[in-house]
Amino acid sequence: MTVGEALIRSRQLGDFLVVPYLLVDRRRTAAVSARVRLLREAGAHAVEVGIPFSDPIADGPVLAEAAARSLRHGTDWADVLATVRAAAPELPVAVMSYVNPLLRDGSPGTFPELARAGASALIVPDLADDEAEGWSPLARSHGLDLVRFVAPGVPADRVRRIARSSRGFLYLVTRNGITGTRAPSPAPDLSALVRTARKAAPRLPILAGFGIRDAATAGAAARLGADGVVVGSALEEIGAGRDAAEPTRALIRALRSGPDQMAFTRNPTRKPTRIPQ
Amino acid sequence: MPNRFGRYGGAYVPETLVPALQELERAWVEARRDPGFRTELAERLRTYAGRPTPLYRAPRLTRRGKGAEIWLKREDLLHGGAHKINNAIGQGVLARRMGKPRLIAETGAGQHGVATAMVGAALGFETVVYMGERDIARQHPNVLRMRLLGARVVPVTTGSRTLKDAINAALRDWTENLPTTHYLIGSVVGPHPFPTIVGAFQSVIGREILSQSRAAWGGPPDLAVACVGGGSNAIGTFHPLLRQPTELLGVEAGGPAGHPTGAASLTRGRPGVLHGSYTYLLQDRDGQVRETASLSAGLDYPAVGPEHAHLQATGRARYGVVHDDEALRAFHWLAEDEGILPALESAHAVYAAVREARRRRGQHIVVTLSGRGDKDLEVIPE
Repeated sequence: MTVGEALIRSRQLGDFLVVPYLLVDRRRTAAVSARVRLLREAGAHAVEVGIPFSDPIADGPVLAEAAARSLRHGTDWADVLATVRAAAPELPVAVMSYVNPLLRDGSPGTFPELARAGASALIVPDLADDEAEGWSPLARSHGLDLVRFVAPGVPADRVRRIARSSRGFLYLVTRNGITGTRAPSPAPDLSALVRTARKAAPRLPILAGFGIRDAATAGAAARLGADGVVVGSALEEIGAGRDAAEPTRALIRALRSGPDQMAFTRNPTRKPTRIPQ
Repeated sequence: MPNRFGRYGGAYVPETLVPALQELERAWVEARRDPGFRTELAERLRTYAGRPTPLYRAPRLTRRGKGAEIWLKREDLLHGGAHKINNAIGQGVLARRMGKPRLIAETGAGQHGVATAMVGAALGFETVVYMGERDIARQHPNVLRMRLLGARVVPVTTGSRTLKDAINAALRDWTENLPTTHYLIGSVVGPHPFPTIVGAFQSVIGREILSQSRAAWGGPPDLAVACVGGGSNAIGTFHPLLRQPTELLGVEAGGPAGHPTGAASLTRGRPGVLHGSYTYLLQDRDGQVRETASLSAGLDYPAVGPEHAHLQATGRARYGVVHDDEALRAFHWLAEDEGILPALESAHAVYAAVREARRRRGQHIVVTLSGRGDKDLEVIPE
């Protein structure tokens, strides 16, 4: 099952979607299979496998440091493929990578290998709309859905265009900032943006990311109308050690309970956004 | 406005940055057409930065070259000691038009940080400069200058702790503070429209070279030489000469003799994406950006402005490599022959010019002396 199919099916079952992020690290490849199984059993619906990059401009301190550490451990392309192969039997895999590690001789030449290893979606944080035009059909020809981003301040017509061309799901960046950090200012109200995207692409799951760390932040995402969340830094902070299993399970469970937090909003009678099935 | 130079350039950035880049492009397009903006810019360049800079015939350096006449475009005489002020003033005035009260910048050798700090003070901005920890150690005088000028210097401790990591840090700051902040990038790098804007502000160098060379010997230079890190003084030199019969030579830092790459991205790198731009990079097989090596902090950058990648691809400009020891020799030549201490960055171009002069008797070579060398005194072995 692809990432997109799995997310749509779980949403139909009434789940609030949770997609955790795992950074490829040579020292963790042997444990990937067990780790992803743990995530699945805890209730995750898909997994993002992150390729470390030397210059991760969209990442905050936690994930940037994790990427630097991974590269110091000698992580290379073979480790990326091994991680995807180990994760895919447990959960549908989306690969998250900056543009440059996906290139070979200046063009996106890594898609066939990623697809063969078992990935079904691709998330590229530094590939804004204008540069993504050529990538999306190429990715699809190799069986990879190119997930696109919308962010605060993006005008409505651009949101519509991005939502229509996004595949797998739509990644909602919940605030102006980088991954993991706590917002310096209150998050802007993105519910109008979510409604615009939903109208343009009614079936496409919308997942919120950047700064999702607990039930409260997942609840805030649910209030915006998102179908679920992506979680990276908070999981990375827990780590992959022997005692990580219980906190990992607790985090995934807390995030899945996001919509329950809606009862505590100031406006509890507001109907949740209706999703055409 | 075209966002690429041939295949190179573009804007590979998080969607979060797109509205800010679009706002910047709109502001630039409007400002460029506004006579008020052009007048203010010209006035500030003249009365604050010290333009025009002289085109100096270097007779004793010419004798050393035993060939072509060597002329120096004296950007080292500008306020702050480098060409960086041309761009800092331009973007500063642009940021004020956009109503942003805060400037951020990255700096390698510290020259761009100093220029931004000066403009920040003169135009009344809050200024924050990101600088790699390693560069802070080797360019300490510039750190002191920035602080005295009222800027906050933030050490960058991630990655290779040099210029590229300072750019990463500045991009992250910008993403978090878009409404209040203008990112005053210091070279012809980064996502569109930065390479175009910075190139336009630096083109004053080449425009002056052209009119000064016509006055001095009645024609354009036969060869123009400039050092290339990100490549802003070179683009500024080359741009107005593109339609002249002038040969263009960009000089990259080869680092220590025998080093496999130095910081020579055009000569030793492959195409890829860094800092929002498709250009030449020093990278490993898996697309991880490599650490560079150069004695000169201002050239120590693993990528290069996308327009240089295009000029190399079309053959309009050539790019060569000068090593640390050669740059040091040129530093001493210029000091002893002409009484000028050049920045180590510019010394790379001086070395290449002297090398070229040998086989060009009767020709005129212009070297852009992008900065002065006071900042490097601690790095120069006696």
